[in-house]
Amino acid sequence: MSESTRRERAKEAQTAPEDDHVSGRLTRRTVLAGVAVTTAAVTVGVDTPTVAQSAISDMEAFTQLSAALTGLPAGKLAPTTDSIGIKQQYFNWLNEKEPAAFASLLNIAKRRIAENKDTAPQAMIDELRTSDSTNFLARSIVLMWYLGSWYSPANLKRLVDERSSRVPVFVPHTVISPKAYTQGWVWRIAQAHPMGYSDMQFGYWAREPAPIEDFISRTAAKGT
Amino acid sequence: MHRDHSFRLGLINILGLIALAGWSQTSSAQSPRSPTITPPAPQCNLLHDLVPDPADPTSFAKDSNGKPTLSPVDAATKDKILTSGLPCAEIQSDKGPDPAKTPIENRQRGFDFYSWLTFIAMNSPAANRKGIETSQPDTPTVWERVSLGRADDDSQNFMQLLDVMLSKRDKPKWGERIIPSSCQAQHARKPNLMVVRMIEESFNQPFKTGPLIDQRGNYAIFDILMNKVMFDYIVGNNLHTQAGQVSNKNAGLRIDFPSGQHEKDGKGDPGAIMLKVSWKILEPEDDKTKFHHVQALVAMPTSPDQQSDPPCLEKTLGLIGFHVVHKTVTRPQWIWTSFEHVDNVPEQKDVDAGNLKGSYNFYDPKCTTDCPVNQTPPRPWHPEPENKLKFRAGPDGKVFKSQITRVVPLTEATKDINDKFHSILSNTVWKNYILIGTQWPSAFPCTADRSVLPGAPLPKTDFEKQPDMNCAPAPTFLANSTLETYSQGEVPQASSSCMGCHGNATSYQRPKSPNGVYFNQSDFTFMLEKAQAKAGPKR
Repeated sequence: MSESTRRERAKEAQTAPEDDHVSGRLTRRTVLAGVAVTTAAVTVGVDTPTVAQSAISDMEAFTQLSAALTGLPAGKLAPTTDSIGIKQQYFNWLNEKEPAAFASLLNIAKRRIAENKDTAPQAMIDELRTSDSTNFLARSIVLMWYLGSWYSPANLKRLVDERSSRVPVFVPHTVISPKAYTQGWVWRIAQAHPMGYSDMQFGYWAREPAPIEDFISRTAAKGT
Repeated sequence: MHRDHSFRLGLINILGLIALAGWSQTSSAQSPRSPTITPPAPQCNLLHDLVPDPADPTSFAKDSNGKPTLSPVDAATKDKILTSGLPCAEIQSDKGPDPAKTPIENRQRGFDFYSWLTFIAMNSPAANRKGIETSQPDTPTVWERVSLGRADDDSQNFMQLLDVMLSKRDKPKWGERIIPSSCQAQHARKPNLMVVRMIEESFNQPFKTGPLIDQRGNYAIFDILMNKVMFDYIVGNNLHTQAGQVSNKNAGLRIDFPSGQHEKDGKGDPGAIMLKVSWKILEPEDDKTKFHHVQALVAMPTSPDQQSDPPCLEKTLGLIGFHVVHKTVTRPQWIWTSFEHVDNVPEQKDVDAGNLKGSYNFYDPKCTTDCPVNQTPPRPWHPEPENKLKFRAGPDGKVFKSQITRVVPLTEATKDINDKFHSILSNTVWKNYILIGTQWPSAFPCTADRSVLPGAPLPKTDFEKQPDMNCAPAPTFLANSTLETYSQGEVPQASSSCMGCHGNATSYQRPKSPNGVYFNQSDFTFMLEKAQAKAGPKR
């Protein structure tokens, strides 16, 4: 329960299930490094998963995969008490747009988590790079979380394939939803907010921004 | 203006009570001067949606499978629930008996249960707070007691905002009403009528999006009230005038209204609570028995030429919308509860399916052509004295009537809890009111933020509330069809979110020096913006 005495409640609040984030301090550098890792390589080869990992749900696999790709805590991407529900919206979007490649990615994630949860994040990234279909969809997922927009894997591949073209490649994109627009992590990492939408306190612009940990990784109440 | 002296409690008594309760103020400019006023401690309602642990009523018992059980709301528990009083804070859990429910669904059920308990406590008879079953449609409620001239010193009463934010330098007194000059003669004859003044906020919706006109062509009327805890904080900190807010003394005040809280034994205090209500003018053709209603004097605004006295109209007002906003120790972003009358509007999906009642307060099911929904009336919007409280007729002689639908349907869980509570209110007018929803801040590390400032009062709030002022409101959007009519929907920054909007509320405070940092957030209430008097308060 969340309620008992004031002190108990404050303590419970600090350890409530929503706080069940992946631990560890994140900085802008480590987050951006995570993005770089996921978007750097182009490799070939298809690995069709054959191992069933029924104990891990598709959503859990998606959450862990997203955390590995973005460098953001799974508990922040998908809080236990989730009033926004953006993970479900992204999950549904991927299922609709790229069902086969998405299934492959989920299989990779499930298998690697089942093998070893600690090494799973890097193992997932290493494996998904071995196929264009999973590699470029992984990039789409990174951009989805960071920008709230959809850049299709085909267009991202074209960006690589035509990188020596004299004509700049235009990569079209779609804002996934009004909700997705407000939830792009790029804004929080920049200690800012999207144009036209802010959860910050009135007058925030006159003060120093809060530390980046407060935006992306803090798991306990301040001042405690 | 005429002060209503039917109220028996004098200023001396108020001050004495405050002194006994231990009024304390810090002198530090950086620490809030929070009057730690403890009103006569009520027995807080500790009921919640799960069957409690006998050893700790704020927790829940587990069955043989280790799961909680839902608290029954039925004939067997009716008396207990209807007489349980006001919750001082919410009790909820992410656990529930149904494994298919998500943590947020379980918590939402807990908050909605809290909202119904609050609604029952607020609308119980002022003269018998455990007797809502005996209520008649016109029985004065707890929150109306002061407004109807029957005030006493009970901390559970409420006062209308305009009786606090006075136009002159006087310090408001708890329970004392200000009667507009145009209504004084009628008030003298009928001192127990509610008095409503038609300022812009009384007829225009948030963000000045327009008035709401019922199917008889009358304006819907809105009113704002506060409880004694809020009143004491505002007056104690001299925030009831613009002059007080901008004073150097308040330059460092970080506004932080007291929070509701309870202990396991039920002791506690309710903290700050504010109300916003909406009324429909009931005409002879209306079935008064379906509405909770009051007799009121409605003071019309002065005519634009300022030459003639505005009329003061005696009307029967039927309750159609009811917001309760409650700050609690674990929800410093407040809890936002919204009820409305069951016959206000159809849901849009019911319109699409042709599944309609015979009539609604703000929707005409017979109008099938040229009745666009959720449109604002043609301008100008202000009520004109000669039209009384009817909206003006257009060039064709017709009076505009709002055609409103509910854009976001109630959830099945909300309908379910409404059905349960209606089953125990079936003999009262209150069965005609439905919970629309409860919005609450769902990001727990965020809501638990504490100030790092030394000497900050309990609960130690992180006043800057950065980077997230609102802590993930759940649900993200919530709109009452009579109070946020024109901002329904689910579009960020455009659609109604209680916290998303009120998180931007400010006061008139300013820093001591021109280069100082402004810190004038007003703790989720726009009430302070209604302060009028610019001269200093009378000493």
